[in-house]
Amino acid sequence: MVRNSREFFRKRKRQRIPSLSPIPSYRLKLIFAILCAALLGLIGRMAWLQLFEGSYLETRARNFQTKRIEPLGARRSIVDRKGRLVALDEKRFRLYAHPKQFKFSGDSSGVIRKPVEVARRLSVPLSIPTYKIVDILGGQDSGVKLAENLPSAVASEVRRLRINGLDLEPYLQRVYPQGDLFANVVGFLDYDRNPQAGLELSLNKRLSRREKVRKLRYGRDGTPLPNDVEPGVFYEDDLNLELTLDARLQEVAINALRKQTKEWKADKAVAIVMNAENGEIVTLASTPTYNPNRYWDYSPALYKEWSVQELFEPGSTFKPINLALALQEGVIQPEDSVYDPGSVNVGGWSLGNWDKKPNGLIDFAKVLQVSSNVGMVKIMQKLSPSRHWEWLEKLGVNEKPKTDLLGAVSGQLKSRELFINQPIEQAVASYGQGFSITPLKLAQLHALIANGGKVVKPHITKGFNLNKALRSQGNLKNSNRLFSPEVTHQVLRWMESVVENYGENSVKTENYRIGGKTGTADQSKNGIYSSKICSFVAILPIQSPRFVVVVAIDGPKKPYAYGSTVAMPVAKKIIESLIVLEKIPPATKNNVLLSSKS
Amino acid sequence: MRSQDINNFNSSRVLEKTSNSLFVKNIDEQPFFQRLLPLPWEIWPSEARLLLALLGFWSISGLFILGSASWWVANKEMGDGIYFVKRQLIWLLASWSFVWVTISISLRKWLKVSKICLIICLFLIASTLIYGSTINGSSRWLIIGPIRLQPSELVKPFVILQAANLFGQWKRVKADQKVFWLGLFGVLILLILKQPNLSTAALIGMLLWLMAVASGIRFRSLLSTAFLGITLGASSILINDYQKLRVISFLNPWEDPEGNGYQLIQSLLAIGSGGLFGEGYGLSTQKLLYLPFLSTDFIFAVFAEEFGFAGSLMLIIFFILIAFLGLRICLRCRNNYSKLIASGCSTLLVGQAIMHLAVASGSMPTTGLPLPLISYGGNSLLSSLIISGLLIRCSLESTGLIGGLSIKKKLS
Repeated sequence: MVRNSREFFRKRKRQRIPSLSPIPSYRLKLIFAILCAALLGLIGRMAWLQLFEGSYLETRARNFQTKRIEPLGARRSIVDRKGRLVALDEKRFRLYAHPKQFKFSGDSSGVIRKPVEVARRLSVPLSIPTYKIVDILGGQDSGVKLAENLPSAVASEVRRLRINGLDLEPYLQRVYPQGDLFANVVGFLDYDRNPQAGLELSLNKRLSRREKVRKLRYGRDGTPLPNDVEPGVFYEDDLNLELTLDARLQEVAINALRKQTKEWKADKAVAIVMNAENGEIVTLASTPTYNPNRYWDYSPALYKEWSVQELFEPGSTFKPINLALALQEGVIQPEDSVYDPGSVNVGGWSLGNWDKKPNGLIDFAKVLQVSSNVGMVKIMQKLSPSRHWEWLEKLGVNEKPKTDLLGAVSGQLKSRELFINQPIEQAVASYGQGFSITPLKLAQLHALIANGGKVVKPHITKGFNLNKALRSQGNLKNSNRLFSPEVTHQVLRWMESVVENYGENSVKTENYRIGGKTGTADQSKNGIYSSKICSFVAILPIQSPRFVVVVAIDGPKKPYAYGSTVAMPVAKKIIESLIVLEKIPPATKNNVLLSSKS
Repeated sequence: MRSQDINNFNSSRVLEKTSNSLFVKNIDEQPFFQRLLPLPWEIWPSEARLLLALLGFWSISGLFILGSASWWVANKEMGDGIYFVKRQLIWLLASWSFVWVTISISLRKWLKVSKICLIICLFLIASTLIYGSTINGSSRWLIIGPIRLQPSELVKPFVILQAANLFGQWKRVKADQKVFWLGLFGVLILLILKQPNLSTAALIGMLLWLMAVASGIRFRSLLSTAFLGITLGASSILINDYQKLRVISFLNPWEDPEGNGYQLIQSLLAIGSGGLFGEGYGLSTQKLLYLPFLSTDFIFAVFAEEFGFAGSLMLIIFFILIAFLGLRICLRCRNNYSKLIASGCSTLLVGQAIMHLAVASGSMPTTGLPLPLISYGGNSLLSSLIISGLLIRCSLESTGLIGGLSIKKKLS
């Protein structure tokens, strides 16, 4: 073995020496030089990429990795007192097509699909016939709006088709699921999401969620990265605006109002149900109104709630208020009575009852029951005109009510000089004419009677829920007492007697103590009394008054239109529902006993 | 100093050491790892020692770089952040044992077996075209049990050996032998091209040409061969649509940033984001699935993003150091074969790294090529370490104490 290899080695050596020259070392160095040149070239390349182009490339990389999420401008939902949705945002999509980039997933680059092919796939999820999609696409290259108002389900179906050249743009749409029920108070957002009326307008800032532009780096699989996140980017609240309104009562009211306005060919009508204790408006229904989901179909004149913006002469419904202030002033005593001869002459004007009939000597309950204008004039004449005027001012007749309802206006009251110098002014004011207030103000004034003389702030928003601090606190704490409880108690009993004396088909409800007063006022337009406004005010339950119901129907065009015939049936329906919805206990003797025991 | 002188100087220096330490000591007194070494550690040439140390450093830091590049994907897809690192570690240990095997076998034996090994590999490559499993559009792998073999990687050391066999005695080899072996190399390259694996084919082609340059063949014939090769390559690119697209997208990647240019653009963005000092180890953003093949073909982009220009510069200087060590070993080698083997080994290691960096930085058309000892892939690791082992063996044999028959006799 050893010898063999030695022989082999010798043989090889002998052969190699003549034929092979050693490799010249410059060739090996040349290879090294080539490698080094390439490596130096790479150093240059890296320096160029990382030092000179570095910041530019980094910017591009960050642009590629960072997604900027613009806030869609979400608004808070609005819910009624029971949490039913009144207004909410829904995510919708607009579908844009760019035919120049049409491509199906898996197509090799350079392939551009025909609009027909894309349309065929799209027609099922969009439920638009293929030929129509092709028509819309036309021969355009890009930026064709194919569809709008697509719900999320359709959008994800379109996305699942994985067609290149389609662009789904999300946007939010304000939806009002209750239709026209709350239009008068909530208002609406127009196409560009600008608030146009109601709470949407008055609480615009607080309704819009303060969202920030979200700039975040993501992995390609969509994993968000914690790098350079600004503070507060992820903050979100889920607050809703809670209303004091009750959708079911609102619906009862609006249906009753619609029926009545149609029957009496009236112009418009409003019903207000207010919590007398804290001013929460449970119902504020008015007709005619509009559907905020299709606001463009309606006249812009309907967008404002007339019951807080238009004035009317309250008429007889103001009589209990006048009685209360006369009692408070002590110019009359509860047991007193007044003589009603059927007409009275004041400063040369002859003023009469509505039926022109005398009522004789009547007590104050009877004054309200028969709605004696003459009696009221005589009662109020016991009070000096200046004192009377001061009272009307103190009651805030010519003052804007503190409320969150948009556009509430102040009433109109004659000037102090006129009121004092012209006896007729005080005389007509005694039965609620010669000055004008909004239906909302009337409700607020009757709440004074109901709650023992305290001024409440009528409002329709409870605040933003989940945040107790924002809730409006009881309004009664700071309010001053205008009437003493004894006075209002007396007036309430008189108002109850009014209802007790009604016949069938009135608001009289078995086992419930309800006070009320009708009103029928002639309305002057340009100085001519041309149309009527019929109203009815109710307070219930008398034993512990909680709610004031005001119904006013403007401009009935049929004969025999009075507060009792036009407005009271609406109030009746509302009261019936109110008793059920608010679980008002009946005033049976048992109940009285039980409550006195407890 | 002529090379002959260096050789004489080398062996005299080594023998001097040897007489002091080796022959005095009884072989049983040495630690076991010394007994396993083909040459006692004390008399290893400094190049071999340094190379071994550098290879160790390279392997370990490669594991860390791979760990950073792959953990996100591993976590997402395998549910285990160190999934790839674990597998790479197993391959690394196996490959290092192959390093030991490699340096224990004399170059003479290596040169003898290279012919048959090359032909076996050739058949394996041919069989990938038939039985190969196709991944990412090319069939490079043969699946044998749990192991995926990539014959086009494993053939690399044998190409070096056989090229050394051929070019080392170029003047003496008969014309028919030359034609046969050159033809075989040509077939090899064509088969790899057919897989298709453009990058490996190009790498092997360039390696053969550079080894031919090193062997001292006349420049005229070298240049004409180069011209032929370039013509062939160009026509291949023009015929092959997939290669043409690659080249076009390489020239202007921004033209189709979501399609053909995507890979390169993502790589450039990653490298550019690195800036001077990089984002820091583990903090690359582009590796979050933006970069394709980020633990293999584009691992350098992740490295460059995390370590910046400073890191890239260090890496390139490291490669220059390897190339320089290769040159030193070449110059010390005692015969033409080992010189060519050493030159081929260092050229392949550094050349593959150069091509990887060039692809990632957009200096070359986008073709997948692993970064030696860093990219994920057992076959590449194995082949790179065997090649490194050959380089070390060249250095060891340059002492003249092993490999040559006379020395072996002297030692026994």
